[in-house]
Amino acid sequence: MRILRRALWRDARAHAGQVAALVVTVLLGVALFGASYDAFANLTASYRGLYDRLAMADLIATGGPIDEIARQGSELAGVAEAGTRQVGETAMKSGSHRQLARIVGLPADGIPAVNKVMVLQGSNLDPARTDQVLVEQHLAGALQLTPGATVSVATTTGWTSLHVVGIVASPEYLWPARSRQEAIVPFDQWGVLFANQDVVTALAPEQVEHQALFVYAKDAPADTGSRVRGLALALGATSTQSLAEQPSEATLNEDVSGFGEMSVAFPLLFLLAAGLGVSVMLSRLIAQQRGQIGVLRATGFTRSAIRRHYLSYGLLIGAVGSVLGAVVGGLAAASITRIYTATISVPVTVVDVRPLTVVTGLLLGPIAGGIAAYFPARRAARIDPAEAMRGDVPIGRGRLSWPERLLPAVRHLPLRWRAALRGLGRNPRRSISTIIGVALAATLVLVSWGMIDTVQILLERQFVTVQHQDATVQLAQPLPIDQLDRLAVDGVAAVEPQANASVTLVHGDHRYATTLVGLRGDTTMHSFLGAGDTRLSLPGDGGVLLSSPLQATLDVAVGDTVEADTGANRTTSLRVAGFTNEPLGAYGYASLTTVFGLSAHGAAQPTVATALVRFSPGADRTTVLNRLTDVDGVAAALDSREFYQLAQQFMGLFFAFVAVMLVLGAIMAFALIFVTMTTNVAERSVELATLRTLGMSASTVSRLVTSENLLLIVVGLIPGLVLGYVTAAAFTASFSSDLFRFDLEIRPTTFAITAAAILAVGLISQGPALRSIGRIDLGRLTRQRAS
Amino acid sequence: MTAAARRLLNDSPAPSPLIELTGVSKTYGSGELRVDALHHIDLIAPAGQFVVVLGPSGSGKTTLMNLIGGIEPPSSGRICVAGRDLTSARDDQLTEYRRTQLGFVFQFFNLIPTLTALENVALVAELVGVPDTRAQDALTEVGLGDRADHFPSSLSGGEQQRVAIARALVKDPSVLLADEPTGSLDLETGRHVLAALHRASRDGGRTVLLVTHNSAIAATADRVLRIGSGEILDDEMVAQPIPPEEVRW
Repeated sequence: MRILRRALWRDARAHAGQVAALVVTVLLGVALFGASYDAFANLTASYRGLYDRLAMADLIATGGPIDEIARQGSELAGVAEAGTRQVGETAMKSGSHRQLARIVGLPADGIPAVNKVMVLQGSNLDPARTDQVLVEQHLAGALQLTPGATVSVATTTGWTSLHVVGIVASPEYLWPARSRQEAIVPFDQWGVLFANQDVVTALAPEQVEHQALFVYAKDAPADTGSRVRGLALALGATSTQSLAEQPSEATLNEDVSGFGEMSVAFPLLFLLAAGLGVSVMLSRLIAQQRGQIGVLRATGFTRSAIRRHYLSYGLLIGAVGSVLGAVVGGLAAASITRIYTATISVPVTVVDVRPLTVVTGLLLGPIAGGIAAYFPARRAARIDPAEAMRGDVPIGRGRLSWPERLLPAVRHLPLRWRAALRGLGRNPRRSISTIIGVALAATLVLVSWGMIDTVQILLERQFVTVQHQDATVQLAQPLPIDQLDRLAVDGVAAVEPQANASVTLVHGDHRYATTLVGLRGDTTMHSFLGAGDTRLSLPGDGGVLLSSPLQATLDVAVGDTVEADTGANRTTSLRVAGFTNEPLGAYGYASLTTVFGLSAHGAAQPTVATALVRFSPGADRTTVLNRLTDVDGVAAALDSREFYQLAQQFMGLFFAFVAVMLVLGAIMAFALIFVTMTTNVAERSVELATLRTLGMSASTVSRLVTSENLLLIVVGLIPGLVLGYVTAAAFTASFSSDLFRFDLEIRPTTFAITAAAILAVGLISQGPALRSIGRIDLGRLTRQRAS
Repeated sequence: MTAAARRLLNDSPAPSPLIELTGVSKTYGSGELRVDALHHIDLIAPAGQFVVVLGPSGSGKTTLMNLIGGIEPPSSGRICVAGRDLTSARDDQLTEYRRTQLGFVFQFFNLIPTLTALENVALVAELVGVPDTRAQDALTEVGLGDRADHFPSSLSGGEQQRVAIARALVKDPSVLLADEPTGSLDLETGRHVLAALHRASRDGGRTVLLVTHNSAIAATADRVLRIGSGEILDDEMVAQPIPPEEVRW
């Protein structure tokens, strides 16, 4: 058996190119598994570790008697900690820069029982002072604030100065999302401050929310969440938010769970490709070594010895690829974790080597290689020794190709084309392997590229097709609608009021906390698009348009009635007039009168705190924004384009991801096509040598082989593009939620580019095989039997 | 050399030589691994001659065929076939030479399994630009007109070899090179194939160079070259070739 092992090594050396290609494919599969799974585990551990350390709330109840809710809640089984706080939204100033800020109230010492902050720079609040503030790190970074700086916040008494004493990280703002509806907000337009409760108390009451927060014990019963939630709602809370629903956690979880999905899907893709390659290569090797197998069998080697020998090729390739892949995967996981946590400023990074991941990775390659090698090895073991030693190789069975049989006109094509068509069926296993390989590569590319297309198209839809305002003006104090004319400064073409009401929409047992946006019935600032991009009109009084994710969340249909709970036992019935198809957030849209009617004052004194502004064509944006900010009573003028630009900036991460996937897809396609093409040429070397001897030039023979290969690639592309589309649709659907709605959008050019890229890789990967045609030893090969 | 051979080569008027080798040697490898496959070969074969090259394995007979076929270049000497000097020809010129002047018949037939008998022949017809009808004619000439639509896998060894001969003849080559064409056939089938080759020589005025280690076949030839250790040991004209149908082995 030692001699057989030596033969194995020599065979591997003789097919070094193919073996290397397959080892690299296994390596990538195992590395992707290790990298994505451990990155998933590391990031989850990083977040969870921080949540535990800073007592991140498992549930937040808003509204109602929060002290009573906290008190009774703390007595429930499974609740470890409970606390209360006030959170307000207002305008803030830093130098001449104005924006919006959320002020989270902290106890005097700055250390709450729930949702603590981690001081990264400076110190915590001084219990003896109420004029200090802690700045959330993303806001501090955007405004370059450091301890010692001063910021002002708008309170009922005017601008109040606060001294920055520390820069902090907060578990609930690891991703600083304003709400589930506004997950992406430019940090220099909205940020978070932490200050003494007294600062929040000084804000206008309608700008402040009262919250009770709960942390569950490690061993809390499974129903703890539902019991606390039930209690809070029963005691009068208007809404509750679990940890999973919390905007930062939900946004990060969507991202991180992508790594989890990748750790299964992509390695599977690569290992499948490697397996196909091993099978093709080994089948060829066995056909080549029929005589040797016959001799081995005749000299006493058992069938199982032969089977083990050929099985060991797959195990060897899988093992080498696995070992290298496990190392690369481990290193990549650490790098991805560090880059990722650094990018979104997670203060604690957990990087662990997980033995289970390593062991699984080490097993994946040999398992894939072993399964792939098993069937060729079994065929080798079944070879009849007498027949094999005679050298009789059954001549390949010829038959008309399917196109010729189905379309008689195809039979009139030039003979070379028909030969290429029939070539597809001469070795079905190899052809199918190539087709599957091409299809997998196309899937990988299309899924990656489809994500880019989808996000780009959806962002354009949100910020160009749906929203038409150039700026959103936040007023320091609500103003009557007829006083908004003051915003019609030079460069402004149109001003419209927008009324926002925080509501909890209720339908049966279903509840969803959101913002009800009130607009003019003839608004030009917002287009309402329904299914199939049909234009919807804002309903009259008492009607509401809901973002489409709420259809399922609230289990409602057009014509149903939902209750809008604004707290303090005040609810209003709204008739659902339709569902809007918008990519970002999940809102309700109603007429101004309807929204005014929700407030305690009713529609008698219609005032708004927000105005939407569109600029005149050609107006300088910065100048107009400055003019708006200078208008008396304006707290901040937020540039809509900044939202769009910020969203596009995040696309940078997508581009990096897609670039990596494209490279990996190209490598996978190259490896598999290279193996199948070189096998194709090796298998037909006698035939090709014969054609050369008969007077066919090397370039004509190459064209013949190329046309056959391209035909195979084209055949593979068809299911590949379909599979890619379906996979991409499933992939994007898995990311869809009320935060982001991903409906797969792939541009037609993307299909064309994907197909062209795969064809190009196919052409390049057959290069070595074609070069070997030029080096064919005509004299030697034409004296051999074809196999 | 026999009297007939001397007469053929020396007596006037001598037919113009179709194949002419002058001082041709072929060496493989170098140093201790150097192998002299052919050593200083001189050969002249006129048009229409049926030449059998006899020799044991390793004698150099296949190397000789490869050199005449433009598959390998000689190490030294000069080779002219049909007025072309192969010695200094480029690869594309050799390809064109094989396409237009030569027909090859191999021991293992080397048909393309995915093409029918007719298509195997038509492929070459298409390559050299002769009408497709010639492919059917060529098949009929070798007695396989009724097997045109059969794939190689459904043809016997002899039939496959005759398809190979038709494939070689369809382009009307001036030289037909056959490497052990009966080597993998039984006697009866071998006779049919030999007969087909003889007809190709006789009716088409082609020079046939048949390489074999089967000495029985030599009796059917116009001329027999015996090769050993890379040299022509004997060059004999056959005064009374026997018909292929009568050969026995």
